[in-house]
Amino acid sequence: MYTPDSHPDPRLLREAGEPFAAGFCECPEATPFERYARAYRRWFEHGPLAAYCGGQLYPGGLKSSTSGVMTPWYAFTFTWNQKAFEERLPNLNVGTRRTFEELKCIADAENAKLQCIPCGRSEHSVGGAGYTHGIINFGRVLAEGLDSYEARVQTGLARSTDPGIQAFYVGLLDLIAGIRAWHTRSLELLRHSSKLTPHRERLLAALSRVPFQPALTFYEAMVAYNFVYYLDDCDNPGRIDAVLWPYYKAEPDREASIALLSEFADNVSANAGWSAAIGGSHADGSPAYQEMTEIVLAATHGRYRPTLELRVRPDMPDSLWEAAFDSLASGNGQPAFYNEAQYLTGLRESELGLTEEDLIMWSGGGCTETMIHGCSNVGSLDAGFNLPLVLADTLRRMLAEDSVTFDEVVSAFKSDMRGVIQKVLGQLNDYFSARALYRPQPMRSLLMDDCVERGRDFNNGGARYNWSVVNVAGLANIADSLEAMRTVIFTEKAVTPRELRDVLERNFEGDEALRRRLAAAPKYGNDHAGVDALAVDVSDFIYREIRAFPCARGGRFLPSHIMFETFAWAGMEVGATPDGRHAGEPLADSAGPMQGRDTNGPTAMLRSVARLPQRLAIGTPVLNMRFSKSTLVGLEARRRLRSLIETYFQLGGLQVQISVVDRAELEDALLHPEVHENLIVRIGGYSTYFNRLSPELKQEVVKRTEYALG
Amino acid sequence: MTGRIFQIQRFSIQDGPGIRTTVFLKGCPLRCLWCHNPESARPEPQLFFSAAQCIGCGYCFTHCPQEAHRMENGVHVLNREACVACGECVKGCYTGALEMVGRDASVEEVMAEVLKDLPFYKTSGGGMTLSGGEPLAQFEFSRALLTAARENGLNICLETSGFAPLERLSALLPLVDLFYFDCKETDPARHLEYTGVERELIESNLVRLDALGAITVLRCPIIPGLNAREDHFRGIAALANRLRNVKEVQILPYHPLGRSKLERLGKTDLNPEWNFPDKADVERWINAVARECSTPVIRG
Repeated sequence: MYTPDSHPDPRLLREAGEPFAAGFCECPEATPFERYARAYRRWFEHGPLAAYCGGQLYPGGLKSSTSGVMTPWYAFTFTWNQKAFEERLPNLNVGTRRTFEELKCIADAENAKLQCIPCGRSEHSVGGAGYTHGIINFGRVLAEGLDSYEARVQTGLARSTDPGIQAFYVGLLDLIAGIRAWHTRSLELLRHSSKLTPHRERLLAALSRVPFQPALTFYEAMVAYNFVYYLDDCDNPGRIDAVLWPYYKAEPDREASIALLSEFADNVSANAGWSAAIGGSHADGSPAYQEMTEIVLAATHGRYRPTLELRVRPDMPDSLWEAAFDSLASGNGQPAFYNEAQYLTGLRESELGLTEEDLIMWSGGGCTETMIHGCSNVGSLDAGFNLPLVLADTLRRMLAEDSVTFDEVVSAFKSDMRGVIQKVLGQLNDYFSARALYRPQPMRSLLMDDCVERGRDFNNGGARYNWSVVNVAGLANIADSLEAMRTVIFTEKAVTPRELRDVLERNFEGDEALRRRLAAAPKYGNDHAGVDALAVDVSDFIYREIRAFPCARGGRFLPSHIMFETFAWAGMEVGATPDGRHAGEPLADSAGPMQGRDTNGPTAMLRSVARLPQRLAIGTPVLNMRFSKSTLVGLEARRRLRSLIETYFQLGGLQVQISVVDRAELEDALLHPEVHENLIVRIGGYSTYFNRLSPELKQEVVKRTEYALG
Repeated sequence: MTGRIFQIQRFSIQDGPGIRTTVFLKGCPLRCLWCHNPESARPEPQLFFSAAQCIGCGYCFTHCPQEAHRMENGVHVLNREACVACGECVKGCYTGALEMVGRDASVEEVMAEVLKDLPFYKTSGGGMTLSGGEPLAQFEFSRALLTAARENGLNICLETSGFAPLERLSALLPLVDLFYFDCKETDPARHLEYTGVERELIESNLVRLDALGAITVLRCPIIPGLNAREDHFRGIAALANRLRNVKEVQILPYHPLGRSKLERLGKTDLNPEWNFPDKADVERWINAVARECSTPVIRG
């Protein structure tokens, strides 16, 4: 009845409270960029505004784009809220209902154009599906003001002769008009707010200048940062200490700055926003640890977001180590620790065309996908590979003959992995091409360098860097499974390969003794040379295969191990594995050992993980460690924790993140979630509330090995 | 040269500064009633057995040369009388129900394991701790191990009951950075009753070792009902006050974690009265010692 060629009435859509959809439907014949830019414009002109809560910053609290059927979203330009659609539909009059149904048809068609949403999906993939993150160039908005952006867009328009490029600039002017309207509406809202707090006048004064004019004071810089953060739909704050430092240096006021940044962190938390990298290096190689770095740590105490990434160099000051441990002691799992030298080397080795100035702006986005603040379009977990699923196929085939050798099994697994990598990354390339054609991102095109200069949309190669981070899942299960087979099947010959295959098919039913024997074989994470060598061999192969596959977006596919919450459900579809894992049980978390299988202490575990060729997995090989709460009490315990981190980095480790909780507390939280509302755990690549995890995942988090330090 | 060890524990954090590896030697001349590591007492290898972990695979029933394992009413029973701890049953047990405690290891083998964490010792100021059992009971092996550790530049701690000829202690003095010296009971008669050996030699060793310049930490296990007494607390303080180079007094409250090990060794004569002491009691003990002691007193 309705087709993608339908023309929903924009007026009805706007009246029904769907300004984004209305804008999109205004000019069906225009280019996709112009249509989405118009959608953004109408959203900002007519969409809901957040209430003013009396703070020093505006907007604040939950972003307004969470209400509505079709709303802006940083990941896919727009998001379709099917639940809201179904709830609203019966309450609409006949005409509007028809319009909504036409709109649904159009939104479906827009998604169908991406052909492969969820992209990169195959029977062996995990996560991904094109969901993505970015870090806009906050510093440039602060320094130059959006007025100058408009001037640059107009210059581009005046110079361009290509109709497609002209459409791009016209769309951006539309977007800027929308931003102006939103800014004006925000000022009006503040002026008429009944919240007569001491902050309002100052906020009004600042917001009447920024973000259109350059920020002149630290306060204005902070107001602009926050405003633009909402403008971009609350994704990553990025290199916040580096960006704010010049403003702070001019008028240092520690207490006031902590209060402002705390309010900003509350805003990031309210929207489940993402990452901020702090510390690290200047382009000349000198350390970039400033007072601002400590202020960010202090301001985020106990807050759930942003996820903080502390870039650690050997010359990081002792005071910053202490500030970091104080922050961890506040219970939010922040910061995670990153090996600055290894990242810089790994990114240079990856030949991504990075200048030294851009290189030092590296930061994790989303969970912790490696990207460059302000100028990169990095597919942020564009896709992932479920290694144990691939192994299951390999084993089903290879264990059919009892004459098979261990080396043949390993070779067959690698060959199968190569096939899956090529298939999934090939699909991903098709998806990138579709996205470049049909799904522009006007806001990112305006705020991310060099889209305006190039006259190209963000999703069509407009950003300066365009690599893609993909996920490698269940590495420990592969190493453990191969080692268990080598020991129990091929060396000790406890059962034949065919018998093992049958036992796995039966999910160890009736063969608990064999399962225990397999589980008792050496496991990755215990500094055991044999099984660790298998982990190195397999990971090196997979990393290189991924990196060698040409990336249609430019740049490269960069491997990572970032399992956030997915290691539990990624395991649900995987049958029994030779490491003694039952069918359906979770996979190993990120780059670490299988949960509970590292029984030789944290030094052994760190040595094992550091053996991986980690720089090849520069997308970020996440390592989670859990320590009991006493960990951060006392000088000696802190010295040990610092030693663990520093030594892991000396051994080549890239990243480690630390949860400080007690098993007793977690177990209590399983039984009495209501009294542990604020319990934050660090998993996969970010922090989240324990109560928000699925029951399976809660069990896995409890199961993780917990170390004591004192 | 080989020694009889029962565990090499990496990331050991209770036995000295920084990140350490503790090598536990098997065999001890004392028989403390509360022993926290009962598997360390006897010098010969022993069989740990835990019926609760058995899944009834039947390997040990058919492979034990002594036929010491059998199933009785669905429960795995070990005949300790018949068992000679040959270890045959352990070879096919993957559940943790059967384990051997104690094995011979060469100095090189132990050092290879200890040196794995060398980078961590360097960043943390840690090293190797020799513990037991009683390291001085395997004097030549201990000396060889400590010499090797010294050659590798490790920080070295030695845990000892002090019950050995003085010459052994003084011979190791140049190889040890810090002695963890036990002070189990200051009343001579009770000392004999609780530990099975005389106190005199231990105390004189401590005083003379101190005079030779050894840096020590006094480790005082406190067991409610035995030595949690005011006169013992005063005795600890008085002893510490006599020493010139004591760094710290550690109060080690009794914990019942050794009990499960006793059960796995087949011992059933356990004192069920003993349990974790209250936090308040521990505070009180610490304060009682600290009142009269010129050395810092902490919970160890």
